Amino acid sequence: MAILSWSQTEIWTAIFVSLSLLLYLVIGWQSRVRNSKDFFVAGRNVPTLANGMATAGDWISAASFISMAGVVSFLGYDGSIYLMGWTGGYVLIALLIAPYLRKFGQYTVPDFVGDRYYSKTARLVAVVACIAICLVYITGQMRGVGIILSRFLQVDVDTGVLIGIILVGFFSILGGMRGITWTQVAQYGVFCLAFLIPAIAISHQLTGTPIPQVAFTTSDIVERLNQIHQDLGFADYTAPFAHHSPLDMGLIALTLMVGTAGLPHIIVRFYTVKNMRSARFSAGWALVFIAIVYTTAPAVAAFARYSLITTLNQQPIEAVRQIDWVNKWAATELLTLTDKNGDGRLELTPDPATNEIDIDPDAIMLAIPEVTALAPWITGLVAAGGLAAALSTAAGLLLVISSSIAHDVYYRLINSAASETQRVMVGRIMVGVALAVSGYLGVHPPGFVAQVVAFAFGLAASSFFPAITLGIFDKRTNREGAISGMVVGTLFAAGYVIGAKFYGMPLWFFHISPEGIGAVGMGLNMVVTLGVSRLTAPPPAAVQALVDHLRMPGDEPPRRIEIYYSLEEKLELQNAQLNSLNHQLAVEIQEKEQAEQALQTLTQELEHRVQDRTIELQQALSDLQSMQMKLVHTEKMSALGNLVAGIAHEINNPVSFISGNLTHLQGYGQDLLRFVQLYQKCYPDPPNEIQAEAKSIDIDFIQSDLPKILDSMQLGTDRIREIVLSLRNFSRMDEAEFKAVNIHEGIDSTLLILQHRLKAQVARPAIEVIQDYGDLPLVQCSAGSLNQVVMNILANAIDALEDGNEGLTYQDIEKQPNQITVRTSVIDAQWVQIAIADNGPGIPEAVQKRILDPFFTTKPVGKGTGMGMSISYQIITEQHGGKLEFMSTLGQGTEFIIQIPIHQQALS
Amino acid sequence: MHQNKSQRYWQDNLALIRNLLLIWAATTFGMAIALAKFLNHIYLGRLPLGFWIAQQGALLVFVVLTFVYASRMEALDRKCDSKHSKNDENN
Repeated sequence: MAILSWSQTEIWTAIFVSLSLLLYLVIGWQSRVRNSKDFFVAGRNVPTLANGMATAGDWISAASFISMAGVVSFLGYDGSIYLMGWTGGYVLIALLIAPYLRKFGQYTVPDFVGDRYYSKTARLVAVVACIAICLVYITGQMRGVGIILSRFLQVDVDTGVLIGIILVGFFSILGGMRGITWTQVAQYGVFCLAFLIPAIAISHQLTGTPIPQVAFTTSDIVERLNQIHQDLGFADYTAPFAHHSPLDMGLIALTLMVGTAGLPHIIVRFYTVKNMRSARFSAGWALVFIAIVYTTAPAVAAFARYSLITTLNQQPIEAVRQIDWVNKWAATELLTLTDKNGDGRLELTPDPATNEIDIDPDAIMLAIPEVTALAPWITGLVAAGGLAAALSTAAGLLLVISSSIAHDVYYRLINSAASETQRVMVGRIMVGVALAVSGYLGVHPPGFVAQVVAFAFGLAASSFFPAITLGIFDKRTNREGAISGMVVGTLFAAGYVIGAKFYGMPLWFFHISPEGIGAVGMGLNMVVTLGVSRLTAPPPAAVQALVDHLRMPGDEPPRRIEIYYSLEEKLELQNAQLNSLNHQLAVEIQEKEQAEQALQTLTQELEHRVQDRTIELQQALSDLQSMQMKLVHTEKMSALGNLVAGIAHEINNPVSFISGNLTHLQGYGQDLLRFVQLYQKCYPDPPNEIQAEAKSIDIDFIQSDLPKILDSMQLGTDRIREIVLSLRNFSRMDEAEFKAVNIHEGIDSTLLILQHRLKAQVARPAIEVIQDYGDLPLVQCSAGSLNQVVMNILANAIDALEDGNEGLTYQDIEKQPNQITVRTSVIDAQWVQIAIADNGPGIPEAVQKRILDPFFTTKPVGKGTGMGMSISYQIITEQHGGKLEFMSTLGQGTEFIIQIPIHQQALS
Repeated sequence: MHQNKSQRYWQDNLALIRNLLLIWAATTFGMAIALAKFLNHIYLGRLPLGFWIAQQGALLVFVVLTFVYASRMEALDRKCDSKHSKNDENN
């Protein structure tokens, strides 16, 4: 029901204010932080442009937003000192302060003062100045928040202040500098729009040109305003020095500029960017964003003044009282209309005694939308803008107060062992405390506060600005100089302002107004600082090095001054030293390791060489052994050959007799038998004596058996002759020279020699030898050697077959008889081949590889020398230039293949 | 050598600051205050020049000054950087 009674303006206001507040709360929640770097300096990674915008948000306060246009409007030309004073300071910040403070890279302004002047006293003075400046400033902001909320949300001012405290508290306590930064960016956006939209509207309405700056310069509004001023007896709107003397104007402008450059909540913003470059540029961007508002303000001021005067001046008071907004603003006592001369018309005059229209500058900006009858939503937007300006500045100030106490007092001066969490916690508590204090001051504003906002600038100008700039640009400035300079400058400025404002002190210093005295205080501070510094000892080398470092290019932060090392930082320093020692140690260790490694490599190389030598020696030894073995073997064979040849020869002669005479013996035997038979035929009845004899010798048996015996003897002698021939054949191995021989003869004789092993035995039937001879030509070879090879292979084959027979019964073997196949063939015109295959168990893979190695044998000790195959291989490959290969399949048998050239000469 | 480079950088920086602050002071205290009456006889558009400078022009000059400083220092930094690296190469 209550909502229905709201006017359109109030509904729009509620919408804009709630929406913008919601936006800030969301941003505040999004950028909540945990560590102190984020809490105090937003992690030092705020983008350049964002920092510029946040600085503008930080800077433009509720007072600026609400009163700036009003003040300029009242002061005319002389209002320029505020326009220039509050922008020109950024040139000083960009050129003299921001980059160096960023490079210094700590957290607060007292950090810099304390380090640069190597003194806890200096730090404390800075902390006190910081808190004083910010408290004065923030009180006005909280009051502004209260007024706006009360004006637009229809609550009383105190409730407005309370709401403001809760809002600012939320994102400051939660988000610290990070939260504040991003809400300030948003707040700048809101109040910039809120400022520009009515400005554009009024500009368009009065001049037809929407851009206020252009309309201001090109339209005739200012001319007309000048004319009205002249008619009413005022000085021209554009005429200088109507309110201040040139000196006063200059000094006020300078105070504002220098004060701006010394305001802690502004300069700490430059701790939050990445580097010096970003600090310089973000100061530029801050100025751009501020200038957008501040160049619009004088246009609004002129237009508003023109509108107000033409609406109110010389109008019947009764008619004016009918205007809705007049009533509303009259109720707030910001607008006072009194018909002093009782003529029923309102008159604006320069003389307060006769002036009948009295408007508070604060009312102008807020009243513009209504005065110029702009759409109701614009009024709502302006309210949201004013609130944004107040909240953003209040938050920035709160953080400085909080960090001054949490960081500078608690951490640096009281508990240097405080942990990260403790520092952030204390920071948050301090934001709360500062909020409570400023809230209290907002609800119960002490009378002087409103009047001494100028005091904040004077204080900043006469304390921080000289201390910071001289600290960077004058290396000789020392602790004594800076402290006495700050004290003298501040006391002078503070004394002058307080004296003039509260105790009716005459403006004894060249009639300078209290607003401008900060510049004088600054000058005094500088003179005292420089003088005292020159009279006392120069700053210690470490401090001079700090200054030198700040002046050098590059963003590397300088080392802190020793006396300010907290316990934590001392530990860090020691840690760093230990680390570097560690590093050195690591390097040494590495070097040693490298040396050791080199040594190891050398040793390894040596070992390798020894190994190589050893292998060579072993090779030589084995060569020697095989050579020796061969020699022995050859000797043996040749001896054996001689022996066999001798025996063969010796046996050959007697066997020749036997064999030669056996034929005759057979003939004689047959003759004798025939003769006996003839006897028996002719004399069937021999005498008894003969009969008895015949009976006793069993003549009939002799007759039948004798031919058989003789045949058998014939067989035996033939066999002896064959064996002897074979022996002679075989024994030709000693004949080293190559002769064209019939290989088949050699094979046959070898088989014959092995006959005793091939024939049937107890455990097995005879081994079947299949001779598959091709049509071979005579082959030039060393017959003896070749026979030896064939003998070797055949003997191995028999061994293999016998191995395979193990565990088999006689019948088993009969079913699958042992076979040796000897196959000879001609490969081509040059080569012949002898293949000897058995159907034994085959040679295992592992043995195959070593079968040609000297001394390798699978036979029991004493049974084989292990030289057979090795020598055979040498005989075939080296002696005959041929090839010896074998193929073996487990379970199916082995086949040795000898290939030799037919003509040795052809090859050699 | 390195010492000289840093000193040179600082001297260049100081000279730049001095020049820009001279313009800054001349604008604020010279044109907008001391010469205001004189300049007000000249018009820019339909505004007296002194008045225009004090309420508009000076602000624009300030903006330009900060950006000139920032970009000149950036150039100086870069120059210094490249000199440093050249030195390093020579070493």
